[in-house]
Amino acid sequence: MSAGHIVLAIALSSFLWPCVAQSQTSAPSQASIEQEVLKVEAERDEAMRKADMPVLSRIYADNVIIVNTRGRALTKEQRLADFQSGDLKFLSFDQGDYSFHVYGDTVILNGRANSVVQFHGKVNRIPRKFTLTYMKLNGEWRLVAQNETLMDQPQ
Amino acid sequence: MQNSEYRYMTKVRDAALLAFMVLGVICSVFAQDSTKHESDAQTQKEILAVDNERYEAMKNRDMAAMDRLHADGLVFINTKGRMLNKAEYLEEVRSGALKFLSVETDDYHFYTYGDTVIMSGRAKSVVEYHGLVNKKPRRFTSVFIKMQGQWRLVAHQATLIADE
Repeated sequence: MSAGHIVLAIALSSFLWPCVAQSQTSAPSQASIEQEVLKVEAERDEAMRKADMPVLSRIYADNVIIVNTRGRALTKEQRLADFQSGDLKFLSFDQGDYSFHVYGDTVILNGRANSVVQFHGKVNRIPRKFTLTYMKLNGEWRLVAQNETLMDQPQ
Repeated sequence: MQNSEYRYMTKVRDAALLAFMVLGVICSVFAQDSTKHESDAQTQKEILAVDNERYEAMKNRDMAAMDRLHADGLVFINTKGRMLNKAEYLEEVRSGALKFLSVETDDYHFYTYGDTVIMSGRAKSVVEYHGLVNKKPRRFTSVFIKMQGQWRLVAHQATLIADE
């Protein structure tokens, strides 16, 4: 067999392999997806407490959009810079009351946060509702959007 | 043909084949990039059209359109941090508890991930909610997913902008 035949065989198999692989894997259940996302959330919680930049960088998608409780829209760079500089610190971490909506590789996770957060020197203890949008990108669950709103505030 | 000449010709053919394949891959990457750009722009237009339809449906209390444009699993978090499901949200529109007195949105950002689109923006719409008028600007995040050929809102959250 010549090198040309080998190259041709590799090219053909690389085109056909994804079809074969896809037909062999079954879709994960909603419960297992929820567990996977909760595991990433636990990792994010730990990384936020320790300002672990490599882990945070892995979890936040490059185009993540974050709307904080002051209604400011932040990019990934801005959010990571807040953690790195210490401008954003989690003094305690407490969130729950989760609800999940799974749409294939997109997961909407809603919940309530009671964490005590210090942002630019100001401590915030007001409970907030959040929407986190996770997507599976290249086999990893990554946070693509986050929005937080303070609860029961006068309008 | 002599053996050495045959081997030489085979090598030339293999090299040409390899070069052709590499060129094909490069062209395909560029073509995909350009196609993705056009398709993202088209998707943004579709999402803006659907969002306009939503506002029209809210103003006119067109519940059939509201039902079509919102996913059954909709989660809607308003500026008071109240979380509503689809039935609760549609009931607020139907009953008139939530009314849009004017609609003004800008500063849009779109992030397209296949059939999922994240839309972020700023709203200065004047809203009457349970009799109280709210004119304060707010940031919102909307998540749309294409289901059976129709873009539907699956999640929305709005937060008052503190500094404006």
